Amino acid sequence: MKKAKSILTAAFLACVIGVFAQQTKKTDGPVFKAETTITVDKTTFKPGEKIPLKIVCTYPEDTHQVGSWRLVAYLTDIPGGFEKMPGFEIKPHKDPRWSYVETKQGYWFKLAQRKNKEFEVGIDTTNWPEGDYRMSTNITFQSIIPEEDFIYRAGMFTFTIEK
Amino acid sequence: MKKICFLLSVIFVLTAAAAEFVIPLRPDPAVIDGKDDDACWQTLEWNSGFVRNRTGEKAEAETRFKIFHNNKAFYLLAEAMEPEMDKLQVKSYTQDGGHHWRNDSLEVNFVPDPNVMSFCKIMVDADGGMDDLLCVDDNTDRQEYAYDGKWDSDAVVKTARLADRWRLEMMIPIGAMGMEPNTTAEWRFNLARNRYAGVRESTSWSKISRQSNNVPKQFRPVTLENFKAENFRIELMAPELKFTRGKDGGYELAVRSDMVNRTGSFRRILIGYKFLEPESKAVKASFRTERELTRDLPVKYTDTFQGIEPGNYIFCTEILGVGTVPVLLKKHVRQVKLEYQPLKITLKRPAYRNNLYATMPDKTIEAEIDPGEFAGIPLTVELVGPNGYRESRTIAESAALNKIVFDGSSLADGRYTLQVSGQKDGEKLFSEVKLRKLPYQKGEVWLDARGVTHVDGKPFLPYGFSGGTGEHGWNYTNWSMNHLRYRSGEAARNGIDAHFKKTGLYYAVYPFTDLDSQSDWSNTAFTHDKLKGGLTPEQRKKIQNFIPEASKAEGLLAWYLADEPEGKDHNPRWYEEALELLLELDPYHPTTMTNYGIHGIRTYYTGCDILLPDCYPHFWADGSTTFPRTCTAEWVKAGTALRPTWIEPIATLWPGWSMGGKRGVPPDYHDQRQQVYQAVICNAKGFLFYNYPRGQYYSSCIIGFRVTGMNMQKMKEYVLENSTPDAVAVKTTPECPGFQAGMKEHDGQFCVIANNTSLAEVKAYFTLANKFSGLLYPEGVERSVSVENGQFSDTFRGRETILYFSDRELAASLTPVDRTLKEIADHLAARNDPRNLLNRGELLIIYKAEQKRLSDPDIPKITASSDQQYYITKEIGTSLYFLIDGLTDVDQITFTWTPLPTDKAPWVEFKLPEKHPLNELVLYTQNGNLIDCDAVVNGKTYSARNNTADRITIPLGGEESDTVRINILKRKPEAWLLSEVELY
Repeated sequence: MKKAKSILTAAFLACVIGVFAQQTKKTDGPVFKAETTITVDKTTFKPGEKIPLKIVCTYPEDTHQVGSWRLVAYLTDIPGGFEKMPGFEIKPHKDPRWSYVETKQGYWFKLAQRKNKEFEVGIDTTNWPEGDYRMSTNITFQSIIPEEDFIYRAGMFTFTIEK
Repeated sequence: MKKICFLLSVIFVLTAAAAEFVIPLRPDPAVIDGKDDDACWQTLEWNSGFVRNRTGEKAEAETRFKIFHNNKAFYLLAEAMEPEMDKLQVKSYTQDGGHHWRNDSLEVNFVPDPNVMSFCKIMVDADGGMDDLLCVDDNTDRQEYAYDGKWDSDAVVKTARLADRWRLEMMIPIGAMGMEPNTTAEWRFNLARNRYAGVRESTSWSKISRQSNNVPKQFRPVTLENFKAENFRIELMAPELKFTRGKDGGYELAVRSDMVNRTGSFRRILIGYKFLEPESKAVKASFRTERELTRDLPVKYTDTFQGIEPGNYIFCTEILGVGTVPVLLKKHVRQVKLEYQPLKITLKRPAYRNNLYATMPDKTIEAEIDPGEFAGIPLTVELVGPNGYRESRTIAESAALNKIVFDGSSLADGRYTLQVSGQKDGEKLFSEVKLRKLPYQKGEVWLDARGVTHVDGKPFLPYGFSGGTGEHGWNYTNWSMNHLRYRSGEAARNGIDAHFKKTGLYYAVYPFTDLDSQSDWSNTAFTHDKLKGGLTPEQRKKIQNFIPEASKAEGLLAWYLADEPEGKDHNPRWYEEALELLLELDPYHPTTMTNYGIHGIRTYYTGCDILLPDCYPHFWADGSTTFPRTCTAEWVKAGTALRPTWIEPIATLWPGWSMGGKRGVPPDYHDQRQQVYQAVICNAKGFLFYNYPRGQYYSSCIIGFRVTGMNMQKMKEYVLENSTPDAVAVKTTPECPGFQAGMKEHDGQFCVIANNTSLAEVKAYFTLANKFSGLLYPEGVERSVSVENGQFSDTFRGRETILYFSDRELAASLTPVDRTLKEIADHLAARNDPRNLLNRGELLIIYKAEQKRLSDPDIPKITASSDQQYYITKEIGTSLYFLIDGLTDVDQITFTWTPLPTDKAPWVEFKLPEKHPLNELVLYTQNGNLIDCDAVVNGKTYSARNNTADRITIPLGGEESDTVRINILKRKPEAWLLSEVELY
């Protein structure tokens, strides 16, 4: 667990800047994808409303399963003041364009769910500042065989918070 | 008690000093139904106290209003009290014709621009008839505005008639008002009323000193409570349109929009496109699409739509914020013509007017054929010309873009047609373009694909002044703009060529002249009111009678079509028709168009070959400017996106005073270089400075433009090249977002041009894409900078421009900046020599910047028996103070004094602020015009006789006095009698 956690942390930190690029990067071999959509027929919400999301994952089941997700956004893609929200921490980058904010903890799916392809999650927007948001659900695909690495993919979605 | 009264009075003073009108923020909008029963209105106070314009008397019929905003729109409720409701005047007028002020009406005015160069006006009459107008300063410093009826405020308006008043309820989206980058929460606002029922009166909430509702500098300052100006800072460039036919046979429109999000936050937006019928403004088609804008990242979006027919439209692009109710953030409006061209031919060579000129080294005819949706079909391309000439090419299977080349060098002179034909499913397709191959004409002028002017086949960098150039300017300029109207084409040809022979300078001339008039300056067929429609038969005839002969002038460079036509409400269509006629009558000289802003550039560019905007930042004594110091770059970029562009920077002091009481100053050398080299970076290919008669009074302009002109001709090849795209990246500390930089390459060498647009010193870090390593040399080679793998840094003084050359020899041939700065400083000091009791140096009296200085006690008082004033001195009211400005060698009659021809006993007298021993008087004349004179001091006379020189020295007795009178006894009849008087 400790080793997995350290791999998770190191790999995640190393890869997170490229996480948005990974979404469209062409690679040979198995396909990993995480597509996120808002499941209600609107994209403008009041602060405090829960935003329901569906994450559709594509991954090779013989080598991986879905482990966890967390919410991530570049600081330039969220309204000012959001970065101070409890439950989130800022990850600064020397080029401020790439500084981002993410949930302090990842949300791990229950063991029984980790072979699913679709997940329904929700975002609590209590006290979120008004404005336009572009965020991503960062999915961790856990390797289930020793030879494979953890893989990270992001599903981007946009919405507006309006009082 | 005393203490309490004192405290109360202090509180009152403090309160009164801090009081200003605040437009409050309210969250809930009003329902626009003409009723006052919305909850939002109940919490607001009425504002009234309207007074009559000009007199300031209390209005006979009161008007009152309530107003608030919600960071999306303004809401206004106004009531016009009217004891004679049965006499309301409400006639029918065309919407946006600008005539509803003739009815009982209200004019709602908003000024978001802190510099008051534009404002928004919505006029509504008692029955809801409406005009919405965008009003833009006409650049004449007369506080006059040009009105654009195409602008649409998107206002929702409802009026209602009651027993003793009529009411207006209105909503106006803030985003329709065109926020400037410097728009803040501080605006100006006025509500004005035009009353015809009962007593005729024009009244306003603001105190207006004129009989006008269009004096925005006198509108009351207001603060918008908690206004989020940043929400509206989205830059939108004019969208590009491509109109084709889709596979189903219907028309398809592709719209490309370029925009930058400067709001400071990520934005989700809706882009809306509307096509309106030009006369009625009825919406013929509309489309909307959702997009995302990352902060500060330029983006281009292309969307394709169906369902719109060919035709003329007002094309409206709107950017709206996504939300429950989309909020208008930005709007762009222009007129467009949607035309379907099945086989589109673009002539790549020749690049100018489809003409082959005898002096063009490359006479290749190269066309690009875009078959659009018919790609794949065979095409036949034919060049058809005089005497049965026909040359054909076949494209067996057309690609998306097809290149076709013909050798034009072997063709006979004459008119040709390039035709493209094809067929699909029985439908015949055909397009053609016309070309001309022209016989040689001496002095012929054409432009190459870069927009570079060629005169007689040689590249030419136009560098000159507007308003005629004096003798001193002949050494470093090569053209000027001539405002004369000639009485005939022959007179024009002779006049232009005589000037060319004498000075070596080319002329740009106004082509629209009355002919056979009594005065060279008259203008009856082409007055402003006659340029609001199309070209009339009378005008056409006058142009046809003038141009053919005038165009033979060897010294003619170009036709100067218009000076700021947008300020006179000229019709762009008129210029399109005039240009069509000029192209036919004179293929040998290009046409230029001067506009004072980006709106004018984009409105009138179709009527000219070369855009020549005059863009003046307005320089103030505290270092600030009205327009951002990057404005020259912005104007040139707007021009070069549409046409080859020259530029007319300011080269004198103008205007004299700002609205806020700041004193105007002439551009110093840094200001001059900032304008010029920003334009060079952005690919301007010619310069016309405003202007010689007014500007060559200021030391910085006398020396600065000379040095710049000489330097630029030495580095001409670099100036005429287009800047290499993405060749230079720059970061600065502190951050200077407007810092300008570009690279020009020529013959294996390059030059980096950089300008600090802030007033503070910055350190700039350059990255060159060419990864150069070595030394670069600024002008004059007083130092060098070391570049390592494309990286170097340098420190810039405030406003400084530096040019870095890889060619050391070229850099060494240029005058270094600091040497010119010193020359200017020395020149100014010499004009204020303390040994000379009279000279006071560079008084800023042109454009009245410092005219009141003339009555200061330290300024000598000068009187004369008469004063023959010219042009500028007529405006100022005196030419006498140019006798003590320290300029002895002048080439402008304006800077001299001459008595009237009827003055039989002319004299001029100087009275010093205090007495001094007077030892010597020195007089400067021209061509020995002053022959005999006497100087009188304390009743004693000191004479000069039979003078033939330009400098006359008269020894005085050394007596103490404060007055010397000069009696003119004998002179030549010419003007230019005295240019300077020195007293020691």
